[in-house]
Amino acid sequence: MTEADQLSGLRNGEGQTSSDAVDPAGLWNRFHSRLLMLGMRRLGSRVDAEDMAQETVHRVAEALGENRLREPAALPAFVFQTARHVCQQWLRKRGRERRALERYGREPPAADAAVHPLTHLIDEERRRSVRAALESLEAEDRHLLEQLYARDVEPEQLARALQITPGALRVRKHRALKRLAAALGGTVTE
Amino acid sequence: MTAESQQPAPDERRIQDYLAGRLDDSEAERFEERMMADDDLAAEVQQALDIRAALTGVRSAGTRMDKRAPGGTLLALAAAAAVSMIALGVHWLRPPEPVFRGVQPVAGFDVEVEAAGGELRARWTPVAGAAGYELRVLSDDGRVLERIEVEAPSATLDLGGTDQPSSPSFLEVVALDELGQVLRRSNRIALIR
Repeated sequence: MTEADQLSGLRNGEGQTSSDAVDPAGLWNRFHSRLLMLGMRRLGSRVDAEDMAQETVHRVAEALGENRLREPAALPAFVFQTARHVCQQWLRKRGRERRALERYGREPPAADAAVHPLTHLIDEERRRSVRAALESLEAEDRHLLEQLYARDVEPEQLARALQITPGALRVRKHRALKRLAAALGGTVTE
Repeated sequence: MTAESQQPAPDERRIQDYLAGRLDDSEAERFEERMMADDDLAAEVQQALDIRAALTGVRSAGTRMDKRAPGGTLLALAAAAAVSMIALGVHWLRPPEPVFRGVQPVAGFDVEVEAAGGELRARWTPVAGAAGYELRVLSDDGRVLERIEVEAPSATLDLGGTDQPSSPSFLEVVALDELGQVLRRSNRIALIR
């Protein structure tokens, strides 16, 4: 083992961060979808959210490379704060922060009120895949997921309608999500 | 089963509220911070978003990201347009005239609609500050059947085949700012066949 290897092992052992987190690709795989949601909500555009995610991962990787994160457990919070900072810089640069934040959540009710900007993160190809996967599920699973996630039926209300306890509903939901993930070939979470 | 499991997990409704934009900014921020640290929560939110988008796509048949109308479009509208064009020609949308074209001064900008040659064409007065516009075709119960986003104050929808269960009944145009937020919304124009 070289000195460099030992040093690398020592760094990991001392808790600089996990080796996959130091790797930008590892950071990207773990946090990308979360960063996109965060960016989309703040910036209102998928393109800008993608740019923000890239910039955030770049900055976090740079910070990790410079050993600026001492506590591995703090990595998610560090990523979050970095993303917020990148968003704020981006918004300040364009003078949009106030308008963007004010507009979030107060879109007037419309015929397509269920269509929130976050849903625009999912492209049409992905929607088709998910629809096909949903179609392949048992009707009971499909109905449950649709009621919860597309129609926003309250869990208690749905449990009452199905004449089961909320706990049983939760179990069914997790099983349905697992079957959906399997139908998608494990590609639900990117 | 424990007493705790009789109650819904707080995250379940939180996920719904987050994806529907019902959390205020500070709540949404706290939720995102938790999601950043909780891989399981993040995975479930992603799944929920996938499902929501997929099933919303069924209802709205097209997305703002597409910048174009999707393939499945407005068979009933096409049939109506063909009938209108062949038998009646072009008419203003003022009942009781046979109509499939109209001008309606609404909310500060006019919308003109015309169906011809298998297409629905619309144009309107530009709205100050608008970075783009969205033309929407709606069913009689208000669901969005078709939409297209454009930058110019005009749009053309392909009236090809459709798999929509509902017939198009109304049309509206919304002016969007650079963030894609609604600046102004026209009144709905009835598509009378």
